[in-house]
Amino acid sequence: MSPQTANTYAHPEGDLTPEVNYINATKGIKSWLLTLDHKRIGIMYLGTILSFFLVGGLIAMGIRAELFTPEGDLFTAATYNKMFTLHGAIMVFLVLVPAIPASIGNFILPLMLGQKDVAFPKLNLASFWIYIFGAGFLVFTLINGGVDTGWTFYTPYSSDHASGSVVLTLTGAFILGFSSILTGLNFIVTIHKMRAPGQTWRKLPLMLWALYATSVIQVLATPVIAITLFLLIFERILQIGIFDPSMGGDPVLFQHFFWFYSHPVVYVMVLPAFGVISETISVHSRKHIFGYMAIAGSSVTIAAVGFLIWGHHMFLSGQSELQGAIFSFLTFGVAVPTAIKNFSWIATLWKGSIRWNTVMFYTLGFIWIFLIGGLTGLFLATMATDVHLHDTYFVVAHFHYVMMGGTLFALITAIHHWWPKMTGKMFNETIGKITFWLAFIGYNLTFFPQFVAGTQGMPRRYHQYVPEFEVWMQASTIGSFIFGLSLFIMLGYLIHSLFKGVKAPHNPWGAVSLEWETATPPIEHNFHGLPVCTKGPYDFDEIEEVA
Amino acid sequence: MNANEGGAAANADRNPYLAHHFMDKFQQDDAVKMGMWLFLVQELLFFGGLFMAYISMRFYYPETFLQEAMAHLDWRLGAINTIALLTSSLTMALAVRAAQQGKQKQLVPLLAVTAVLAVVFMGIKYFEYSHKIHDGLMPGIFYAGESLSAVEAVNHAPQIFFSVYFMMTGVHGLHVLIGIGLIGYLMWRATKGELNEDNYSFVDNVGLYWHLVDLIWIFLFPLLYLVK
Amino acid sequence: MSGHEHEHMPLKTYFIIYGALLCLTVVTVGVSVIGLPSTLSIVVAMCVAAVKGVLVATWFMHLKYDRKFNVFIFVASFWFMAVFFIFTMTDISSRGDILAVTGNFEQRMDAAVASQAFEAASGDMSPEELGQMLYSGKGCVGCHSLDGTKRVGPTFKGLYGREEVMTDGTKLTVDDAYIKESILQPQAKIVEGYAPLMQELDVSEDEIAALTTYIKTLK
Repeated sequence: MSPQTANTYAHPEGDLTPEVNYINATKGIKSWLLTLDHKRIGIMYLGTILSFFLVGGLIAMGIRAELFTPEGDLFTAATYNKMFTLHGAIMVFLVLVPAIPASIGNFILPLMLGQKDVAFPKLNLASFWIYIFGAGFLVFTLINGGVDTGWTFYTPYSSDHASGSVVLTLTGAFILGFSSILTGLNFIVTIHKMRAPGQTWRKLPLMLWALYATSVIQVLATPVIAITLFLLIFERILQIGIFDPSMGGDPVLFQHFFWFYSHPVVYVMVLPAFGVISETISVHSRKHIFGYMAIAGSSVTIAAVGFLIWGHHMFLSGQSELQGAIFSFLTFGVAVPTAIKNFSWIATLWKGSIRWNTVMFYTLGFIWIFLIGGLTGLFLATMATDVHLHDTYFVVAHFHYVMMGGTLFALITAIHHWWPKMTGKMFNETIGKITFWLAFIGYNLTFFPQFVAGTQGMPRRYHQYVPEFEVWMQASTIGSFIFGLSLFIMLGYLIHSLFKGVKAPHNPWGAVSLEWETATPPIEHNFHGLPVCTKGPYDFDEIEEVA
Repeated sequence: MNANEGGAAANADRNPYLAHHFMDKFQQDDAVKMGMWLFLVQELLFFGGLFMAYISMRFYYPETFLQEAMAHLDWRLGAINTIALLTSSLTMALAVRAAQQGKQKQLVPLLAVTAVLAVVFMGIKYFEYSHKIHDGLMPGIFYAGESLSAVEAVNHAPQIFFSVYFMMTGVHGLHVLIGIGLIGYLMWRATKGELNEDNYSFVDNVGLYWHLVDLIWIFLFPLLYLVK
Repeated sequence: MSGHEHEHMPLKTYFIIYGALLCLTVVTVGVSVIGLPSTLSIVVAMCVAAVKGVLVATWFMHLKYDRKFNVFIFVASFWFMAVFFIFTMTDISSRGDILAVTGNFEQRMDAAVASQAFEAASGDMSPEELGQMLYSGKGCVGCHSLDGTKRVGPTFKGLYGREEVMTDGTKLTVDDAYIKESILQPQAKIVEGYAPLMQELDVSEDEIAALTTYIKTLK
């Protein structure tokens, strides 16, 4: 199916390779939990993130089941409030933020750079354990009766009125922030200071440009949420009054604090997704990426402009109309670099030799879903239409299209694309493609009807609703169960491939970036010797000649 | 570290302070330095939130900030603390220089002076805090300074000033305490002779951290103690 | 190792910087003791602090000898902080500005409803009754009392023919022309002791006439 590349670095003795790789190099649980190897840390992140995704997903199933009928028959209103709060908090803080950078990013970043590890391996491990520690708080909250503030923790509800373990949740999110900062810091330094000889900025795979832009946001924005949550913890315990109107504070100020982080963090979720798609679309249409510099530059632009637009979450908060108009205008600005990416991807497909495999299916699925998610964002960025759509299911559908459809579909794409490299096994393409259709249809059936319900005025965060919306909500619930089923099938065939899968060749996709130059799965130190980067990451023609 | 792998046996003459995944010491030092600056940037933005709280609350309650600060914060104590931190910054910078030049005999005393000055700073802070707590000048609902009617409490809001004061100086004080711990650890390493001209990155980084703590105090001092 | 790590700053420089920092501390305390006006004082204090910060960063933190990119990282963080401060403060300082000029949505809807009611009833009701309807419908009731109580605006009781002192010191007697001007251009003349808070509302000539008639009846 694909040509073997001339492999200079991984196999000095030819193809009679010993079976020592990063997975079986050392044994025992301690060799994993205390490893400094970025690949093992990446795998541990992936496992943990997917576990939390399962927890958050099961809560979502519960929410959808409740909404199958207009009556609040399955759960009480209080339980429902706790469910959507925990669903949001788990999905945002534990799943989406670290989803791609900490798991896939950790695994492939040094490989793509031709390095033995990230710049600070101990910090990398620390960041993982800080993540586990912070996650522990959220899990404890879950067991300890939950919390009902919504994942946004708006004051004064969160500071004065909310019941449940608000402080525990806040502490958990506070700690998780540091994990995110340290990962970002590590990646920036690694990309800056540790590239293979010959690997100039213009020869950097676009995944790395995306991870770089992501890391910049993580380092700059996350400390602000840290101080926000810190102040809110004190607001809750001591009622210090900075955000609490009854003590003379300003609740809208809290929203500024919160969204100064929480808007850029949307790009922490979705920029790595853009990176993944830039890789897969080029590799699987076997054509040089269209507009390399434009895509790379747009990642950095999105990261920078992403800091200027947080107030579009606050059009109806009582924020000044002047500042609202400024935020609205700048928000439209973000559409430009995002559109540049979309056009470049589609132009890459043009006259490419497209491989219709699972990875390509998910890549195109991502583009479709993100297109809908992005375009509906324009409605919400317009102040006048936002008055109508704010806090309706339109918003819910929009951010699920960009965050879940965007990030999650890209994560699935990435897992499939790098699965052979991570595990050394090939998954079953046929069942992969069938599952894609199940997932794609299920996904769209879940969230597209929510746009309709939203424009008709169905508010979010209610566990009962008027019967007019029943048909849309039922379609959505059915879709969500199809989507959930498809994810379980995916888990099934991927695990099956671990044991029964065909052994993967070193470079099953015929890609040219450095991570495919090493053994599959990679050896513990990634490369024998230091690889030299002689060609760009998307120069496929040369491979054709070798083949 | 992982350098015990059998594959690369030719590493015997490698610098013992060089981690296995770096090519040379220069690359390692360069990376560590950049990492530290990024860490300082996140520290700045962390404090940025506190400064934002200060600016907005001062905008809402300009009179309160003037009156409360004038009445209850002693600029002389603030000034002494400023001088203590500036001096400790100097000794820290000199300690980094001593480490870079391998002057072991200077290193430990300079670090010790830095730590002592930091303890002096915290001592004065402790004195100020206990004084305020005694007077009931506490943040939020714990405020018991002067009896205010409900309307006055909302319009004058002295509790907000003390919230901002305690949050800003508290978070800064926490950083000073962490700094004292780090300097103590440096002294321990230095007495074992592990910090020298080949391995001074750690001293350098603690130095940068310490200067940042000083730099933030340079802004806190006039904002809290000198408002008129 | 490349050169820049080994460029040691002369010992003298450390002490010069330290001396400068101490001098600036004295300056900033001194300025505070002199007691400049509040705004100027904070500007001076922040400028002095900024200079001190630059001294610490450039020499004590060795940024002068460091890589340019590390300088960029440090400076860029201030840019992002500035964005945070400026956008948030723009909001806080201009919040409600537009509402003060146009009235909020609800007020404008009420005024429009009142106009419709006025037109519908204009054949059946006397001008006094119509004026009374507008008094509550257009929202006058919110700020102008009928019993002589001082609220946000002057009371309507005995308003017509009363002599009022304006904020610019001039005196005038309330007549038809003044009432009309006050409704159409609320900010033109403000009675002494009141704030210029009234909004411009959509009020027709007929409605003004009815209101004026009503006000005349309030003795």
